Amino acid sequence: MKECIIQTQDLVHTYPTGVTALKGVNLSIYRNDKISIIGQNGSGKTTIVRHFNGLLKPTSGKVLLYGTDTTQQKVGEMSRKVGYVFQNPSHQMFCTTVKDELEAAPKNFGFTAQETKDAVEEVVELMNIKDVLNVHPLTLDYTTKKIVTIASVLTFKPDVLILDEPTGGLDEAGRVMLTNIIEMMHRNGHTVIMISHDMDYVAENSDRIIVMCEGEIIDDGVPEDIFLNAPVLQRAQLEPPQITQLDLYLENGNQSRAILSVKDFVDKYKQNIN
Amino acid sequence: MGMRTIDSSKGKMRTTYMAILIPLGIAINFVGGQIASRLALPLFLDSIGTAIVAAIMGPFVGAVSGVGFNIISSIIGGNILSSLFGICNIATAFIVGFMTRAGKFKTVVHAIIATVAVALANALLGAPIAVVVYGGIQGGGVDLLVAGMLSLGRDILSAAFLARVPINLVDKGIAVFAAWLILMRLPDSLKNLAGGKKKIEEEQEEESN
Repeated sequence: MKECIIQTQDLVHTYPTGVTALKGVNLSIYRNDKISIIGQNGSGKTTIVRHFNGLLKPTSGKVLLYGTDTTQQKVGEMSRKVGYVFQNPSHQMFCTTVKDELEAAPKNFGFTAQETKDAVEEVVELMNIKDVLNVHPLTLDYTTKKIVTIASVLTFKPDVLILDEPTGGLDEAGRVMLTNIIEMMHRNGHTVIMISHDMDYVAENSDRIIVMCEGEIIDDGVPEDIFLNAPVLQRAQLEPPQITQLDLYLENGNQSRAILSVKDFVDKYKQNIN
Repeated sequence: MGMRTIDSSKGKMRTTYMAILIPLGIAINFVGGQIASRLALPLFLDSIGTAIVAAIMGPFVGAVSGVGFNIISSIIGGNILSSLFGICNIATAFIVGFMTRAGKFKTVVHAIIATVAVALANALLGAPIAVVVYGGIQGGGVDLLVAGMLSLGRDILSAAFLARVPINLVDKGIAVFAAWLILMRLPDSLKNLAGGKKKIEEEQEEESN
């Protein structure tokens, strides 16, 4: 049985403006899950994940990280376990060079000089960003900024990696690199949580999808089932990936599992022809 | 011609000005704060009224206006602890008000010095208050920077302080320069309500009478 690493119990969050973004959410996240949280803007996606490392505190209810209430833990300690890549990379860049940026988190988390050096070298190699090490991060193009912020979180290898809208503004090469990173983290036993509006990407890169609407979880399951659940998608104002929609049209909605990728689609129809 | 110094802050009209400017300062702070909050700006904009009142009426009246705003806004927001941010508004009022009294709020350089002093004081005082009241995150635009630093392992107090320095430099720059511009455009008779001493020529005054 998988280890439950994050659990929310009747989680409610109301912002100082009076907006209640989460309305009693119950959720369990397990080690090595590869989850996507989907929903319209304002559905509570970002608010819920910001509870996972203590950036937000519950208005009521509980969030448990490794079985301990997040209100009883320091944000710094939780951030070491739960790495969070922000939607806007500029909100996570504070140094004057990319190299300093990459060294910041390991230093803050108490890595030795050698450990910091090794961690930085590893992500520089992995993300192919050697050429920009001495550049000011804010002068980089958007894709490279995103890659640098992901790299800065990967330096400390968090147990859980949260990616908030990771594909937004990424070019194709960036998407391929992102996919490789998600796969690598998943292969190495880490948990990956992605928030995204990009249904095509979510369908191909998630084992589990959580659908949120108006501060509540309205569905939680495997993508093959989620993208066939028309009432839920309609309520959340979401559409399945294009390839899923094409298959739905061709099959008149009679399939039992959604097709999630072009490869699956081609395999299925090749099989039908044969 | 003999010279004497008079304190024009003790006129009969002072009470009237206070009765008008204290609530006006509170209202300006409230509107600014609402704009920043509703638009999720990485600014506070809730000390413009305080700075203006302090520049015109002096540090103590400015502080009353600032603290009044924080108390009212904490009641409206349902979080009484947030009235602690009134300490930041007191610092703003004291720096601007005492600089005006000392005659050091007349030039652009004075306004820049006041901005830096007010920004640093607010960052220093605001950071621990934010940690106590909200655990470091208070829902405003500044939180994005605080959260970004926290997620990369900075401790909450230094993240709350470091995120506030650049934001306060812009935010308090707006407040201080608004106060300075208004003060500079006031007629001379209203420039000394803050308690500044003004030298006049006694004989000239007598002649005019």
